[in-house]
Amino acid sequence: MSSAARLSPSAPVAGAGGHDDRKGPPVADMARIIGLSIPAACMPDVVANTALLQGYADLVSGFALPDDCEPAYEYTP
Amino acid sequence: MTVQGHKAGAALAIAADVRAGRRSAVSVVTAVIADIEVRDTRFNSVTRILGPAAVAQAEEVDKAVAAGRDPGPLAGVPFGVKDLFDVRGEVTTAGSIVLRDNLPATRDAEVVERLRAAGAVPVATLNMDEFAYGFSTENAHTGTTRNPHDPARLAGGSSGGSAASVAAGLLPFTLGSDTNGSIRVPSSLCGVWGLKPTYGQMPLRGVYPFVASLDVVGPMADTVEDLRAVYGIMAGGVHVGEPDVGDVRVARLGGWFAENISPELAAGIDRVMAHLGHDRVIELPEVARARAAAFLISAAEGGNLHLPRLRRRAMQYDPATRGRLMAGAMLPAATFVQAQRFRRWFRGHVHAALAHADVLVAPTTVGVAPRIDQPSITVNGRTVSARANLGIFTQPISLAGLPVLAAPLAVDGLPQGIQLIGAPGGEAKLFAVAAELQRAGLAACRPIEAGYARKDS
Repeated sequence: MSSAARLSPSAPVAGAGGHDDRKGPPVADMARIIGLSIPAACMPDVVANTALLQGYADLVSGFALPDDCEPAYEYTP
Repeated sequence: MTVQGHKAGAALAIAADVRAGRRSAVSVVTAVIADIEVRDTRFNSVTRILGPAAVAQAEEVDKAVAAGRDPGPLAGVPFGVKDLFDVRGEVTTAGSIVLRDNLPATRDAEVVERLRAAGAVPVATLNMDEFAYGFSTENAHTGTTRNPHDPARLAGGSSGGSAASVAAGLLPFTLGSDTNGSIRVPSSLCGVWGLKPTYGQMPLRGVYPFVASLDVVGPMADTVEDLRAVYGIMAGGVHVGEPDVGDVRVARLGGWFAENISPELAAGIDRVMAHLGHDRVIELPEVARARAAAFLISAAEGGNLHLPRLRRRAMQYDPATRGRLMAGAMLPAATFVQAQRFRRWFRGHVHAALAHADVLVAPTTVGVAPRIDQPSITVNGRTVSARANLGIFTQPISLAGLPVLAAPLAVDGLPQGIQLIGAPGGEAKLFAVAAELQRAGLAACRPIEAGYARKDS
């Protein structure tokens, strides 16, 4: 597959988090669920990194795996 | 002294001198410490010098020699450790102020313990990206490690101090850790030998974790002989066999691993393949997804590891690390599980490829070390962050857990390196190929100035 567009998935255009963050993941809500308070100064960076990870997640999730393909928790190379 | 037909490496040469009484361990260790104090101001590879403890251990080595006892195969050889290995009496910082109030380690990490028992003397802790999360060794707390071959350039990371101190000739060998390429990337950019052993092979007791699914530890050194000797001791005294290189099937990785690399690096790989007499090219499937899966697993496990501290004192973290860890901690379970399932799928295809070759040759990075004031690389015509993308060729291999020997090509100008990738447990074949490349002059580590080799002490 071509990897050109997938190397560094784009960060959202807007940098704000929370409910109004329509262009990116709902970072403030996601943080609240795990008891994490994100300082305001850190929010743009966390939003950008969350969007980056979402791009990679989309890439991996876009690949169909057979049902009997188990997670590699006890991994032996 | 010669080892297996080759000139001995610096570490083995020091040990031979100390064992024979030609040099004292104390003189070697004190000279190395003095050299670090003078020359490392240019590179910032060392974070702490373990002076009194190192001299005290060196004295014990000298006493053993004087008493006719075996001082060990690495008697009096000074070495450094990435600052995530426990060294007894020292606080393990993992490159962060977040852990600075921890109690000092009461015992060495297991691999350090084994090396110390072999007579080697830890003399320094070495710089790294905070919590090993990066490819550049730019650290807000301890500064940036500079590449000894051009101090205006990055050393690579996260084991940047480990690679730079060998490249500078400050230390004959060092220890690093590799989760996504953290031994291989700096080894390549600094032009030293490095080994990422098979996942699960090396004991990790006393090593500050990052990503349990991917973490391994390994040595970096100035010669194949030193690398092999140190690896064997780290692995518990195993004898690393030396198969005939003519019996080792070598292939080149194509596709993803043939794109974006510099013409000089491509030519170097051409020369390696021609010399070894192999022209087979193998393509692994879905490499971009493999890299993505490694990225996601790292983010999720690293983020989870640090979540309790991120809740209480996030602002103590390096800004370059903090946002990545926070984002990783929030990754949905569905994403993490899918990445782990993909890992299982990828493993099967990697093993299928390894049915056709014993050693796979691939680039380590796209080219030479980026400039510190312009930390970017070009990938598919786009300028992208070096910090995030220096591992594009190492991360997919990390996902598979394969052993990789990082070989520095003998090139004019700035260092460039290749990965020699083996089957699980196939380290001996990697060493066979590496030794042949070193013997033929196609790969070489060229330290700037080997201070430890002086015999005026």
